[in-house]
Amino acid sequence: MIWLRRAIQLVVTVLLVTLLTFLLTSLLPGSPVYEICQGAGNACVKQVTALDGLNKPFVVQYLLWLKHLLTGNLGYSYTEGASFGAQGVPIASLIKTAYPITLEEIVFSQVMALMVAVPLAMYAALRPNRLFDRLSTTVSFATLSVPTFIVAPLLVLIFAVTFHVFPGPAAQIPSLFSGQFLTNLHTMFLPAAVLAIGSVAVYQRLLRADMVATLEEDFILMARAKGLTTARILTRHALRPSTFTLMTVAGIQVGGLITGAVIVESVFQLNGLGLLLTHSVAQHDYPTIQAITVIVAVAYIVINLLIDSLYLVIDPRIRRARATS
Amino acid sequence: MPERPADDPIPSFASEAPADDVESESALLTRPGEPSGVDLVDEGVLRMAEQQSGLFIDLASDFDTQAGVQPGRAARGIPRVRSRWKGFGWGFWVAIGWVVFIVLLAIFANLLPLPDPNTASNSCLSVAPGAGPGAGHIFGCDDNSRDVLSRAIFGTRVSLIVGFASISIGLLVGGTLGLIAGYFRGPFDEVMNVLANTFLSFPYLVLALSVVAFLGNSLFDVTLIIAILAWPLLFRVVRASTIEYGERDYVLAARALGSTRFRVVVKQLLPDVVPSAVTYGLVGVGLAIVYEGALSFLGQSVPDPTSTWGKMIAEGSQNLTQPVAQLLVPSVAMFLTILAVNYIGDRLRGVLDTREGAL
Repeated sequence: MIWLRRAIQLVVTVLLVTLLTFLLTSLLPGSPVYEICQGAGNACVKQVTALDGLNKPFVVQYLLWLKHLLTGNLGYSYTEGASFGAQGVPIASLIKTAYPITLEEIVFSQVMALMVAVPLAMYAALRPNRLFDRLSTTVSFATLSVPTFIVAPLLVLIFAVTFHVFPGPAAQIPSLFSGQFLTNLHTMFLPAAVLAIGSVAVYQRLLRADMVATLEEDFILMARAKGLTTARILTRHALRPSTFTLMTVAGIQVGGLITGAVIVESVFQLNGLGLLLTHSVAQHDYPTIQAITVIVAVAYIVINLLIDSLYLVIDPRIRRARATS
Repeated sequence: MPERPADDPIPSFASEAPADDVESESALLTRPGEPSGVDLVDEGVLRMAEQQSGLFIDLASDFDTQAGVQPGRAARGIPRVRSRWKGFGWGFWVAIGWVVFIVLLAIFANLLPLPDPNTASNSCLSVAPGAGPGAGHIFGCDDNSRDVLSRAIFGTRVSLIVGFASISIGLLVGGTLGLIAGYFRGPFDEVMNVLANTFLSFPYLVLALSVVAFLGNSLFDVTLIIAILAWPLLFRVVRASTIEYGERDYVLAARALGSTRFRVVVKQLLPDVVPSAVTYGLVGVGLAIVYEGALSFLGQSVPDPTSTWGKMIAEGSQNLTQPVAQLLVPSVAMFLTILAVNYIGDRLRGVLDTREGAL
């Protein structure tokens, strides 16, 4: 039953997301046709109207758009490769080349964030309210108040311009699987680090709080009594039960990371989804904006659903409770 | 009773007070299933008596009644209750000071002896564009020979207007809807919930950028767009606390005494919900400033020549080999402002709001 309810909720939310995105067009003053043609004449108006089905009723337009969306036909860009009388590049292909970069950036940043946050949280949880703990809490609070668009230029200034440790903006990025694996990681390091900084603060705080609670449980005392080392207790016993809040928040974080990615890609000129979106907005490429918005929102919903189901994998107690009920 | 923060001065009073049994009694009274009509009135009268005699302290209710010392306590030999304002710590007052400072700067920017922020100044034109700090220009000039300090001060206006106005709109819309949905529940609540969740399914900046593209980027548009981002969160906060307070005895009592539903919402629930809504609203102001900055940074907020912090940061990061004052000045101003607003919100929530993590 729970799954059925979830599934219905998911479908309804996704449908509403597409509807809202489609409704954006109605915010445009006048018909989008004139926006597209920009005084290119009646021939253009007729052509575009017929082509995009803009003469049909609103509901039909929406359903048509939805049908195209479901079949992977995202329409054609108004600006990219478009000229009078010629259709632009298919948006699907634009997105296909852009999304791996954004994905890599986000995954890389999360790996980085966890590698830093987990040890910090463990150390802070071992000695709660001592100097290190307080210091790290203060630092994370301050870190959370620095927006990405301040961190990114500062890191570029320090690590690329002043010290030349990492390549700066507009560096060429070889594909991850082209044999230049290390060059790729080296170039991606700074963008990913910018995204990681905010996550480290969040993860460190959450994991530390949960860990402090876990360390007070009986099974930890038991493990201590058996003579296990602190390191083993922390990594093998305390870590897993302390990760639930972390996981939920990690899912919610994805939204913030996508937001961050838009900024980071603009600073570093990485050709990911974020830069594509920024360019499309600057050039009033409406169908591309709609396509990116819808895809990103649906991906965000699905990721959160997946993380929800991950609970079952991580916590056997929930699995058993669900199986018996 | 809801859980109280550890640093709160009041719990110690409540647990030591002779009125202790009253509190546990009222806790008992909430539990039984369906009380009869007579019971309802009795509970209500009892509860009102408690509130009026000052024996019963509702932590999250009206701010003023808690702030002062309640009459009648000292006479019974109970330790005086400290003013709530003293529990905030010096950091809180520094943060307040900074916010007041930049609000004053924003208001009186025209009266300050500053060069025009939007046109090139003559003394800047005589040096290289993007020159560092020099005579007459404490923070130097930007690439278009405009005074950096002046632009930073005038840029405060956009951040503050968008930050506070958008959250006010969001609070008004989201808060009203949350009150109605939380008290009346039913189909309206369900529909509003789904709608709020749908809005929250869009990553903020993506939604903001696409709405800007379709709607436009005047100061009003940007404020509106950030209000659109903010309302679902504020709706959720207000709805959650309305549900919590709606189940309390005094609401039931008010209904039993013949108050209309509308009166209950306005007179009983609204004053309870306001403190938590305002503290979350403050955190929202910080976020709103960040998102306006992000739009500005991407060149999609208020059009030129109006200066904004985000725009200055974007311009300053174009060429990082020159003097970096035009990057650092707006960055530091923005960081301090967001930090201050977040800190104020965090402290207020610690003192006022008992439900941590209601989101």
